[in-house]
Amino acid sequence: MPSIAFSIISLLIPLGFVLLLMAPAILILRGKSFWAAWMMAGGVGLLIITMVGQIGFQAYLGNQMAKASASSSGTGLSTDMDRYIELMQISSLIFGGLSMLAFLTYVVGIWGVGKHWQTVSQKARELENLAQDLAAQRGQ
Amino acid sequence: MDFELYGKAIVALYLLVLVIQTGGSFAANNGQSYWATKSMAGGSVGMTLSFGVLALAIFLEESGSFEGALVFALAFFTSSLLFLIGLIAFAAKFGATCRRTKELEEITAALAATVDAEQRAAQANPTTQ
Repeated sequence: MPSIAFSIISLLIPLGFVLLLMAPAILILRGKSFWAAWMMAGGVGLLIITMVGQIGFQAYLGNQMAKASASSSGTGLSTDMDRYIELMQISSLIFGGLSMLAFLTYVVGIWGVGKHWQTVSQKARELENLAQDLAAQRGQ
Repeated sequence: MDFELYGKAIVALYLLVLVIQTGGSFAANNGQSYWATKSMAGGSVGMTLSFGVLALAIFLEESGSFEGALVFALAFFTSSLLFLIGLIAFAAKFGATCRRTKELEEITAALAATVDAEQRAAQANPTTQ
């Protein structure tokens, strides 16, 4: 059935998107666990909550609208329609704001990691030189 | 409720998020700069610029053409792909560097102890040199 295939694809795309955003956070956390990397992971978590909430709310609203149109056989729908449109607008604002908040958390995490990279790369270079020097001293 | 105003506020905040993302990418590029951090920075700039044009069209209530929307989608998609590839490669290198640093700290500590002990032994017993 094409509708099942379509719904699977429409679930897989956001899932792949979320996994793509989760990968950097996990890769950083594997090396070092600190606040910025956890903020990135938290941002992805908030994004997942937002997505699930939005899908659930849309399913609920669609169900309600289908029920209303079935019971009123099309005549009473126009009065309900305003309410549904308003509900949809409010929900899109809420979920839009939430996903914005999720990206904000993620991006602040990226900033923290980027700032930290300066220290980490410099320290790695210094240690690499130090190890070489010490090895050379031993070899003398 | 003025939905249009709230919608515009969310668009403006998304633009702010993209500006912060650009700042973060450049902060990473200020450290050890290599292709992944450059790809992050370039992708961020592209995302911010293309979204900025879209936000401007929304603020001015300019109804965009189909071609304009297509160009925006292509520009935004290309630059976000560039950014994501850079971000994943950067994160992999960041994690690997952190682990390598830990390893090197142990190696240098052990080496320093050995070198120290050898020097002390040589000082105490100069004839062996």
